[in-house]
Amino acid sequence: MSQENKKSVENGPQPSALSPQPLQRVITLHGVCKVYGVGEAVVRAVDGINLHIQQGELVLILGPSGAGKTTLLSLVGGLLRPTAGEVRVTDKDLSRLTPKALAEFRLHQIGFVFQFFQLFSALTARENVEVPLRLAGIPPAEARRQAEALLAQFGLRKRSSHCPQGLSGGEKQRVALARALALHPPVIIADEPTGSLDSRNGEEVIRLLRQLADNERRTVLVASHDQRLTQIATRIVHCEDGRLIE
Amino acid sequence: MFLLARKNLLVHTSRFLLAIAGISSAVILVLLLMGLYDGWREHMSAYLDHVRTDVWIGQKGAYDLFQTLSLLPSEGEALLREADGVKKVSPFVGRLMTVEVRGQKRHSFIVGVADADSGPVEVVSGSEVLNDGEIIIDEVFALKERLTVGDSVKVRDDSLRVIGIARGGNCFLYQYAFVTLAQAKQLFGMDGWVNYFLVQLAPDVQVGEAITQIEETSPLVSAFPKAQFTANNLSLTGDNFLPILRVLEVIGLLVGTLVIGLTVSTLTTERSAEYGVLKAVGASNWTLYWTAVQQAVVCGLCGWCSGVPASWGVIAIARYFVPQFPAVASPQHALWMLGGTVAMSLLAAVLPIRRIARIDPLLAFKG
Repeated sequence: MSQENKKSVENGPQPSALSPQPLQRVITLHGVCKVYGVGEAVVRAVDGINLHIQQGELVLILGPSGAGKTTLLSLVGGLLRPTAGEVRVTDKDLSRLTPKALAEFRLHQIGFVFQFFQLFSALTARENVEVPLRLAGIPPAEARRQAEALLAQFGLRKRSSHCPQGLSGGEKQRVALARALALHPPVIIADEPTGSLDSRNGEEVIRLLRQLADNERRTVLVASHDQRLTQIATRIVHCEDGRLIE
Repeated sequence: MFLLARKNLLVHTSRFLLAIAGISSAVILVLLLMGLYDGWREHMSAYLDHVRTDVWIGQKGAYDLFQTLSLLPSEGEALLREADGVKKVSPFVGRLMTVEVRGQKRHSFIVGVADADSGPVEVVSGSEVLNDGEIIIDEVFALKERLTVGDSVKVRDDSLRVIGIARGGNCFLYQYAFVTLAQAKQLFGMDGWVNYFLVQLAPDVQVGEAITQIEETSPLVSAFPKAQFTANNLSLTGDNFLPILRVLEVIGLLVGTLVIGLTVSTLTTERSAEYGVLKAVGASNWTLYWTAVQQAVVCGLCGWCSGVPASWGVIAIARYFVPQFPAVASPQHALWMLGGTVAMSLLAAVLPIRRIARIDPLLAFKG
């Protein structure tokens, strides 16, 4: 790892004036159900979940495949609407938001980190980070400056003009993290963030997630099988058959 | 999101270039047809516009030079001269004839020129003063048959020497040629007859009133204002052939729309996971629709930019090899086509937009 990388990973992203303001309860799920299908084919992916997450918490959701972890993340991230119950994130009742307001909510309130990075293959690392900035209406020159600055914080200044194909798995996930943090969202949702990484890069990402919660007081919700995450999580919940066991 | 729209388009350069080639072909086809449409009308009417007359007078029921037959006795000229408000009357004799060029039978619409009022639009080479035994041919006919001033052609049994080459007489299927009135009457066997009379009115006379008076005085004739008579002649093509060109233009536009639609649609399908990610990270549906529209418009405009000069090249080449090809290259058509291209692009964007609307943002969680 380069000297620049080491320093950045150890320090994590620097807090800025745009960091989220203190909030007590950031995520509240009350009696949330998500049902797919009808009749005998009905699947209760999430079944009556109650969950409260405070600002600065790093909550790890553990559970086998098909337990409902991704559905839960999607409900909190405003990608799915619950069949029943209430999902409140940063004091917004997501069920009441219009599709446009939901998109706006995801843009400004949620930072997504995916297992397979999901970078835009035709864009460079910098341009990938620019995407949410441009979506938020930030002028191109300013978006470029902010993206460069973010990539530098993640030790990727020299890799900013590379396309995803030219980046290692760890670099890709750091670009994805930079993209997730571009608009300083108060909530980070990560689905198997270490799932496609080797152990060293996985540890880097784990450290970064912890710093986001500890240093920047962001609320981090992680679904993972990775046992290393249990050591840094402030709370661990187990998901089984659509239910949570804390 | 123009950046992503543009970069995704250029990921597969060869496919993008193929799409541009397809759109260019559609643009070329439509511009060629538009050029043909306008060129046809322009060429068809050029000579009739040039003929100096206010009113065409023909046999009752005849209304044009090509589809209907008009025969009037030459004495009618004297009668018309006596009518109130008539300044000048000229006979018009013309017929489609077989012209033999180096033993090959060709066709030309031969006009008997009484005076400059019914002569060629403009003589571009040789002389415009006709004598019996001489003919002025159209430049398209000359090019097509490789005739020059001094050559001879045969009409019926008479050998006519080419003394001039004129322009403005190309009707695509045939071209006008000019001989003396006496020569024409002799060739057509029309001694004592004419096809039409050309009537010029005094400046203070209304054309409509004069026509009413002429038709009342002579119930066996039909009289037409010049513009009406020109329109009658254009109706042969206007009613039958030109609508076909319009249909082909629409087909060209549809082909262009399909090429754009398929290109952007394929791209959307290939990149559906990325669209899912965009939705997940907060892009509104309208932003994504706009991305598809941008891609479609970029494809369309690239096709237009390459298609317009290419169409002008194709017209120039076609006119070189097929002189009677009446298509014109017009900047106005190019501007129309620009509007057409934008319309094609917007229409083509509907398909990918429908796809985008159905893309599930949860795709972002999948590999």
